[in-house]
Amino acid sequence: MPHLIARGIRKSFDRSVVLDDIDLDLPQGAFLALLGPSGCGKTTLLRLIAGLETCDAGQLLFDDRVILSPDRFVPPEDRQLGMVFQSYALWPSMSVRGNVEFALKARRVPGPERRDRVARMLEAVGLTAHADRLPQDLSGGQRQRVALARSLVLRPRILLLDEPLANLDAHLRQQMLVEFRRLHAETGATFILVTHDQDEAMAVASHIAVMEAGRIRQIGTPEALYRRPATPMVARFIGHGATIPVQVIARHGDRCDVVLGGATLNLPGRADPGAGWLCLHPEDLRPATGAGHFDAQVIAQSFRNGRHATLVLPRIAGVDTLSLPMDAPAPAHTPLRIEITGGWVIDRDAGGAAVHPLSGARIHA
Amino acid sequence: MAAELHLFGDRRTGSAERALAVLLCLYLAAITVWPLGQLLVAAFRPGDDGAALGVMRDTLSARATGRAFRNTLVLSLISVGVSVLLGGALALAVGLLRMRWRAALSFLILMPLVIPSQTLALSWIELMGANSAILKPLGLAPPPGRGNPLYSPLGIALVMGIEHMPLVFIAIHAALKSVPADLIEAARLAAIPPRLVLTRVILPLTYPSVLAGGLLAFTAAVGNFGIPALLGIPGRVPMLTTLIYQRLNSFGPSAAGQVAVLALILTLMAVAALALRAVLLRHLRLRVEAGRPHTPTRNAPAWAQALIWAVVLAIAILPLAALVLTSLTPAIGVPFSLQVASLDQYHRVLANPAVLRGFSNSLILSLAAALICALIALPLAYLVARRPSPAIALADLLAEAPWVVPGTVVALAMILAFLPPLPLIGVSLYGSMAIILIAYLARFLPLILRPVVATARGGDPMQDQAARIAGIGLAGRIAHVFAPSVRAATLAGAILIVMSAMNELTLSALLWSSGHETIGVMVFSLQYEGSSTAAAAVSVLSTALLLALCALAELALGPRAAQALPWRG
Repeated sequence: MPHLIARGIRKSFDRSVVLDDIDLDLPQGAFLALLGPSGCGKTTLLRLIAGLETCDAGQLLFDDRVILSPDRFVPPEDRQLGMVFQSYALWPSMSVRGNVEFALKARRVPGPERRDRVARMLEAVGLTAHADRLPQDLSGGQRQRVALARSLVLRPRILLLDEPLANLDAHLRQQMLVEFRRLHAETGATFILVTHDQDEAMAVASHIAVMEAGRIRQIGTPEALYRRPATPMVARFIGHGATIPVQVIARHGDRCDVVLGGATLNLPGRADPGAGWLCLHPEDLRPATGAGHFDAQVIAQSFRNGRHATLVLPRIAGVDTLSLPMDAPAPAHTPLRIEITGGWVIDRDAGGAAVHPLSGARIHA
Repeated sequence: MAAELHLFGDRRTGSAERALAVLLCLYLAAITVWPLGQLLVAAFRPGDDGAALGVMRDTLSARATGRAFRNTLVLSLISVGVSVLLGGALALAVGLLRMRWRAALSFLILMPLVIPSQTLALSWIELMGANSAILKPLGLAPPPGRGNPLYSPLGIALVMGIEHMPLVFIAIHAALKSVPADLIEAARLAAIPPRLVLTRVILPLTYPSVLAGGLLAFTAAVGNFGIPALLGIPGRVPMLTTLIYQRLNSFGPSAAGQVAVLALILTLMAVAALALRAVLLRHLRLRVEAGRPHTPTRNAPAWAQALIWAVVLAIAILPLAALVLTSLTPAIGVPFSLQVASLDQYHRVLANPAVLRGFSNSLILSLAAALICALIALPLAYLVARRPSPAIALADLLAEAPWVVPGTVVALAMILAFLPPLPLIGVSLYGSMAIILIAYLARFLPLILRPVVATARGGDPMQDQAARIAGIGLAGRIAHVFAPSVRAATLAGAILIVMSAMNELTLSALLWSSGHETIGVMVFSLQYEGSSTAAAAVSVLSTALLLALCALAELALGPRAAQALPWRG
């Protein structure tokens, strides 16, 4: 089964480490999003897979063939992959058709087959009517489609997408995300998308790798990352999460007893007794109907998705602000008693040196 | 990692790229490094008595060397003074005053840059001579017995100063363009009188450019051959470039060691000025926030406009007019008048097979040089911008050398390298067109390499990466992705090479042989033989050809790409 494997990849530029101990095991046909803040190394990892960068240590394998290691380098032209650049990098002197056709011509694909493949590809991205235009005469979304068609016409087994939506407006972005999913399903190729936008990643990816400071902090399905973050960074990055410090007093399998303020709660989690983080999403909180768990004060409200998204300042040491949905408007400074209805508990030192990925560490389709 | 040798690229560099880099380095080694190296070897040869550095000692202690060196230094400095005064005043006038036909004025000011120096020298000779068709009717020409006042040290300095004035003009003009309007308006609002705005706000911002332009003019003056040859040889004012020419002409290759030492002195003078310029530019450049450029609002007074036009016409048009009138006189010594005016000279020179050969040789040589340089510059610029490696960076730097050193030095280097029969084939290139072509290829490569590299560096490297990922080979990427992205710069550079090669005399004066004359050589030798009217006619024809090429270039490039052409400033 063709797949992409990375083992212990390490890379530094002028002594600053940009990729450290990268392990990946990706089945054919996956849609992986490399997600992280800018400067986390996600684009470098993508360019490394493309063959535009080399590594200092580790290995990269397509199937069982080593394509990159400190003493082996398969040049990009021999890797049989496609890439869509952030700037699209369309060849400005060639028409839309010329851009899509060029690589087929270079491979001496016979005329009739070539024309047929180009026509079908243009059809697939909806550019048949613009085939003879130059890239400069196209809109951003159309250029994006040309870049996609140009990469996909070669039927690559892996398609790399480097922040492909960064230059598009919000509406077009949604449209292109739908397009990515459709093309992914139609081609059966492995897609790897680099993005700093977690909504984008959640919308399309079958798997997400959250990166920070040159390391993969956690890799898993969108749901696993959302429900069971492995580190506080992942918890805060995914789904507008927040973390608050708690004391874990006991663990029973996948549930933990934690002390928060004066209250003791039984919540999902895998932390051993000691200091821990409680990872929360807005829907894990609600105004208390009974005794509640802690006091807070309203800072501000905004109306979103039919409810009042409320930013509150909790009266707990070491916690900044939290967000929760409310059904009723509440003016600033209103005191509130809040109840915790869910969450995920992790060790306080999780995500330091050792990454212990959860169920999604090795992905098997 | 550190132990690996990345001479021709790192591990990402493909094998085709590596092979290309090796080929280009070999090419540059053959046409640039080897000849210039021969020159160094010749200069450091032991003397006739076998003493180490004997040739250098003998040449440096010779009286003729000292005289030529002093003349070169002093006259170049005086000419820089002329260039800075003229160029500075004109740049200020064009940059700060509002007047009509500014574009035409700029073009006329830049004319001396387009006109070959031998033609410029010739036209000033005709303007200032006893038979001047323009000054004589006005009663201003020198009396017939006294000889031409330009055949003198000051004459050389004056004409060189005018020839290189555009270099200073361009530098100061660019500096003035970058003075933000805010700066001037802030001074106005603070009620600072215009005179002080000029002297305390605007002028200080141009000082680094004055120095930079002046040093560039100095380098050009040191290496100038056409003007010292036409004015200094009859006037017995030896300069380093003409001394090299005369020595080689009278003693042949046996003088190689001596003239190599002279060439080394020339090179050191030119390179010292350029190095000083680079240092000054780095340290003196004042940081000015970019802003809306200042555009003059008030019209210049009529007397000022008239004065500026008078100066520009006197510099750009009057000498050429004298040249044209001379070319229309039937014989030497006959004063020009409408009654005697005829096209006889033109009939005569066009019937002269040597002149026709000169035109066809110059055309072929300059077109071939432009084409080959373009074919070399494209892959070289590709590697410089997209696949940098130590070897390619060095090649890029060395490619510059034949343009930085004076042309006479390049010509001499070519003689030293290619006079001995080539290994394997056993044929000497000296005495053939090939040696002139190789000299052109070496000297003019930077004219196309610089703009192409600059454009490539500003371009999107991802277009090449995308093609690489799409599996397109090196040749396909250079031809279909890289070349179209630098098309305008390549074309502009190629046109610049055609024009420079058509103009030049410095290289071919030393390298030509019978049957392989160039236009420059024809002008020079006709004048040298005393046929000044024929020389004038050939000059007029070549200038007309050049102006036609200018117009053709503008048309071929279109309005935007034409901005890269030299006379656009």
